[in-house]
Parts: sequence; structure tokens; C-alpha cells
Amino acid sequence: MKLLLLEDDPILGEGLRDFLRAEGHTVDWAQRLLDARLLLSDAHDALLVDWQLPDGSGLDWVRSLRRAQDGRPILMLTARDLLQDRISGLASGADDYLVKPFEPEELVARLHAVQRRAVGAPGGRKRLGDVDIDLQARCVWLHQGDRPERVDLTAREWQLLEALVGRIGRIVEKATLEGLMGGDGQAHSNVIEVHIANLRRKLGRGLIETVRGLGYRIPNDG
Amino acid sequence: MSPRDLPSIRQRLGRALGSIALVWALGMTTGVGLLTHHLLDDLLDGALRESAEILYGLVVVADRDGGPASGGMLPAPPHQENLVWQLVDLRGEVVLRSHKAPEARLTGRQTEGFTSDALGQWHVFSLPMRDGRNTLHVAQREDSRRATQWLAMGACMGLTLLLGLSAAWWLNRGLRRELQPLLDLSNEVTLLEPLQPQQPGLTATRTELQPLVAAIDGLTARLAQRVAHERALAAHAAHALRTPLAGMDAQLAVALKEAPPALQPRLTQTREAAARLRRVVTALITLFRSGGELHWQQASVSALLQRLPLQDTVVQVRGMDTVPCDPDLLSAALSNLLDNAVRHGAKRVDVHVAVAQGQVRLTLRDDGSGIPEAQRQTLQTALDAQSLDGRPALPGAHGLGLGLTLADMVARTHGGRLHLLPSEPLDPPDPSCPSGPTACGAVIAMHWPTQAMAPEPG
Repeated sequence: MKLLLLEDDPILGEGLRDFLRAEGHTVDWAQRLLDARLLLSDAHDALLVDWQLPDGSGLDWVRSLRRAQDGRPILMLTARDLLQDRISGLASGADDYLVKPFEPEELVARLHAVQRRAVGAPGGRKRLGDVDIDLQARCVWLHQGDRPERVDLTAREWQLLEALVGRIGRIVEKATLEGLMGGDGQAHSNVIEVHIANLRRKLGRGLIETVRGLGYRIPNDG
Repeated sequence: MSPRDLPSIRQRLGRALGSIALVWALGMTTGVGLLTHHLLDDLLDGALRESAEILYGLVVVADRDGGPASGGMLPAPPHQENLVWQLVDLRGEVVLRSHKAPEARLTGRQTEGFTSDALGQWHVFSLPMRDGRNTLHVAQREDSRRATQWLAMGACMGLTLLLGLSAAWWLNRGLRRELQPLLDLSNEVTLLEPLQPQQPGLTATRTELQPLVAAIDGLTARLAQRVAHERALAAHAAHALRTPLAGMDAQLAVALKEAPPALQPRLTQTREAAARLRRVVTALITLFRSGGELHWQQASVSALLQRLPLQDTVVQVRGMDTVPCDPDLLSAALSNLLDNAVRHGAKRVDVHVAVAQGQVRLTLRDDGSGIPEAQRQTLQTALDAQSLDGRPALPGAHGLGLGLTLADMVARTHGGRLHLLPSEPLDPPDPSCPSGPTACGAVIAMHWPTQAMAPEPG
């Protein structure tokens, strides 16, 4: 997943960024609300937002994102643990609320949980035609015979698949996928095409559609 | 001094007023009685004298007209005679008498004046006639005089006593009525919630209570200000402490992923220490922020335990599950007790919950190294001596860790206590227990009263 982390504390922010990267996610880290507004793009799959920031309230930002119909999963990370704070955090539109101090492993687990709910796979599994994707275990099964066959994906392929499943039914621009993979533009366009071709070879040509001139999409009906 | 031992204003004033009223009633009764007796005596004597003087004139007239023969008796209709008279000559013979007067002379006195107990029953006034030959005696029966006097005295004394006792009752009633506003004010203070600004203020219904109400209002305002200040400080401390702790853990988690295998054990230990610090700080913030003000709820002990990071420790809940408590505080206490157990080598902790005789009893038994008996007693003494007002505990409290102290404070905040009990074997026995399957680990019990939980409205 490509994540936007908004945390003003340098030690915590850096630690979370590195931990999430080590877990296979792409992380953009902002220490101020202004930076987060500038960094936010369609490429981000989920947002991790601190409440109290030097230049404003993360809670207000979450509220404004929801008002703008932004449906991406958002986790509030905050030191405010009172019941009223937790209620306010969730009422603002955040999908989950994690009170500091927390263990980064718990953050990753909650992140996956909200992501699963967001893609309509609360149990962690998403069936798209013949393809059965286990978002929690990070593995894919192909149903083409009597018994489902496990398909091995590379980390890059899994990253792409997860990004497309996370935006199911929507067109995902090449640039977004490049950004997700930490790319910087034209130089990696071919790389995306190669990985998409590999995914089609492994999971079937019908799973991922090419929308000419715009990008790629997994249709709702798989 | 307990409230029962303190002197009661109402009782003391009541006793004082009652005593004053009683002494006044008795004094007045005695005084009125004596006065009545004296005045009535004078009155009766005056009546006797006047009667004698009237008879004197009549006897003189009768004597000039020839009068009755010596030893005679004046004619009279049948009647009850309370006043008798005799005319006695110099020889002591009765010349004339009223028809109820005795035939024998009443007294030998021949001069003017009173004689008591004449013939054993008469009170006599003697008046010599002007011819010097006869003496007029007018008499009343002594018992009749005494009966009249006692009746008058009794009536006056009874009325005075009744008045005195009525005054005592009325004063006592007035005292109760005037002290009632003080009781009402006490009830208002009992229900006072200083931290709720919308709450109506106290009302002074007597001038004398105005300074007290003003003092209580001032005290509650200062208290509210102090609590608000402490809460603000707690909120600030929470933010200032929680974020670096989370940062420390995140950095250590990354370091564990990146470090070479030789460094992993050291980093793991550091992360465990950071986790413990996190639990203690969280518990301290929770306890500090509560300020002794509990948010009572029926909470599931197993649900509270599920929220705690237990890692490899197996925790089993037995007995009841739902107990009245402040879940945040109990969670903080359990977190610290379990942390203690893990640090002392426990791999399994049995949590037994029971509610009996109005007490919640939560007992933790673990299979760790336990507490040596001598140290257990020292620690218990130190816990018992611990105060919640900031005073230091006993010198023996050196071994008292923050975990036990916190758990004890949570128990006390609930109105209960923490007890370190002698080791007991787990049920069923744990063969893997370091000190053998039959004698094992620490046993720590928290208890608090169930009735401390405020009844829910409706």
C-alpha cells in the first residue's frame, strides 16, 4: 500500500515510516498539515493522521477530506485517549483510532483491517472471478481445475495487485502506480507494463483491464 | 475522634435549655408555693380578725339589749359552719357561742392575738371586750385552713411546673427547627459536585450560615480550579509522554528488523523494557487523571485482559467475569500486576473473580518465582502503610515496586485494598512451574466493595 503518514514527532514519524517500509508499504511522511495537503494524491491507499499538529488539527483535516467525498481508509494516531476524544476521532470520519503509545505491529494489523473493509473483504479474502486474493496472508489462489492453485507473486506484482484491488472499479493511472512503487515518472513506465503483463500471465488476462491513454482497472465484477 | 464521639450542638443546647427550664420551673414552683402559702395564711388570718371585729359589735349590741343567758347559743338555721366563735368570761366559762363552736373554751387567752392548734384543731383570734369581763374568740378549723392552702399551693405549683415544662419542650422544638437549615446545608454539600459548573450553588437560609456557604463556595471554586489545572497538566503530560514512547517503540521495532542477529537479544530486551515503561506510564497517567474520581461500570475482566499485551503469558479467567469497577483503572492495575508476574518468570496466570458479601475479590495466581515469605510480609506492611496523600511509605517499602504500589492505589481508590497472600499451588498443578508443581508463584488479591458503585439512574 502507498501510505501518507502525517506525524510531527520526528522520532515516531521516522520510526513508523521505516517500519511500514520494512513491511512492504510505500510511505510518504509529512510533519506538517501543509506538507500533507501538498503530498496527498490519488496514489495513496490510506492515511495515518496525527491529531495535534504544529500548524493545525489533523481531526479537522480528516473531516474536510470526508466532506470532499474522499473514502480512503484513515487511521487517527493520537495521544488523546479520553472516551470523548475517541468518539470525536471516529465521528470525524476516521476508520480507526489508535492511542499512543502503540506498537507498530498493531498499527500494521489495524491498517490491513481497515484496508480489507475498504475493498469489501472484511474477512481478508476477495474473490474476483477465478482469482481468490487473501489480503491478510498476502497470497493468491487461482481456481481453474478441481483444486485451487496457489500463485506466487513477486513483491512488486503484489504491490500492483493490491493497489488495483484497493481501487476496484476505478481507473488507476500509470503515474499513480509508478508513485506507489517509488518511481519518478517516465523511466519506470515500462516496468509497470512488464509487471502488469506478468500479473495477467499468472492470473488470467481478464482480471486487469487496460484503459487506453488513462491507466488500468479491475472491474467490479472481476 | 469518630463522628459518634463528637459532642452534638443540638444535644448540648437541648440539655442546657432543658436544665434551665427545669430549674426555672422548680424554682418558680417553690417560690410560688411558699408565697401562696404565706399570702393565704395572711388572708385567712385577716378574715378571722375582721369576722371577730364584726362579731364584737354585734355582741356589744346584744349585751346592751339584755342578751341571752350565760352558756347560751345564738339561734341559726342549719348550716355548715366554717367559722365559730365564743364569748368567754374572766372565769373561763363560755358565755355565748355559735352553734358549732365547742362548749369548752377554745383558748385561755384574754389578750388580742392569734392562737394556733387550740383544742388541737382550731386557729383562734382572741379580742377582749371593752368591758374587760369577756373575751371574744373567733376560730377556724386548722385542717380546713390547711386544705385551702394546699389546694391553692398545688394549683399554682402545678401550673408553674406545666408552664416550665412547656417552655422546655417549645425551646427544644425551636432548637431543632433552627438547626434544620444546617442539616439541609450538609445534605446540599453531600450532593455537591464541584466540577460541574451548571450545578446550582448552595443556599444560605439563615444569616449565620452565609459565612459557611461562602467558605464552601470558595473551597469548591479553588478545588475545581486545581482539578482543572491538574487535568490540563495530565493531558499535556499524556501527550508529552505518549508520543516519545510510541516513537521509541517504533524505532526499536525497525532496529530489530535491521540489526544483525548478535544484536537482536539486546534490542529485544530494550524493547521489552520500553513496553514496560509504556504500561507503567499509561497506568500512571490513568491514575493521575482519575484523581480518585471513579467511573463505575460493570466491566468484563476477560475483556480487559484481552486488551492488554500479554505476549507469551497464558491468562485464564475463572469464576465470575463481570464486576463493578472503573475499567481504565482496573486495566492499569492488571497490566502492572501481570507485568510483575512476567518479570518474575510467570508463564501462566490464573485470575479468579468472585463477588461475595458485598465484596469483589480478584485473585491472581502465577507460576513464577513468587515472593519469599519474609519479603511478602515486609511488602504487605509497606503496602498497608502506604498513603494516598503523598506521604512516604514505611522504610520497609524499599522492595515495593511501582506495579504493586499502583495496583494498591487502584484498589484503594475503589475503596478496597491489595493483599499479598502466601503461595498456593495452581489448580490444576503446573508441572513446568520453576519451584515445583505443588508450591508455586505469587498470589495477589485485590478486593473492593460492590456497594461503592453508585446506583444507575432509572
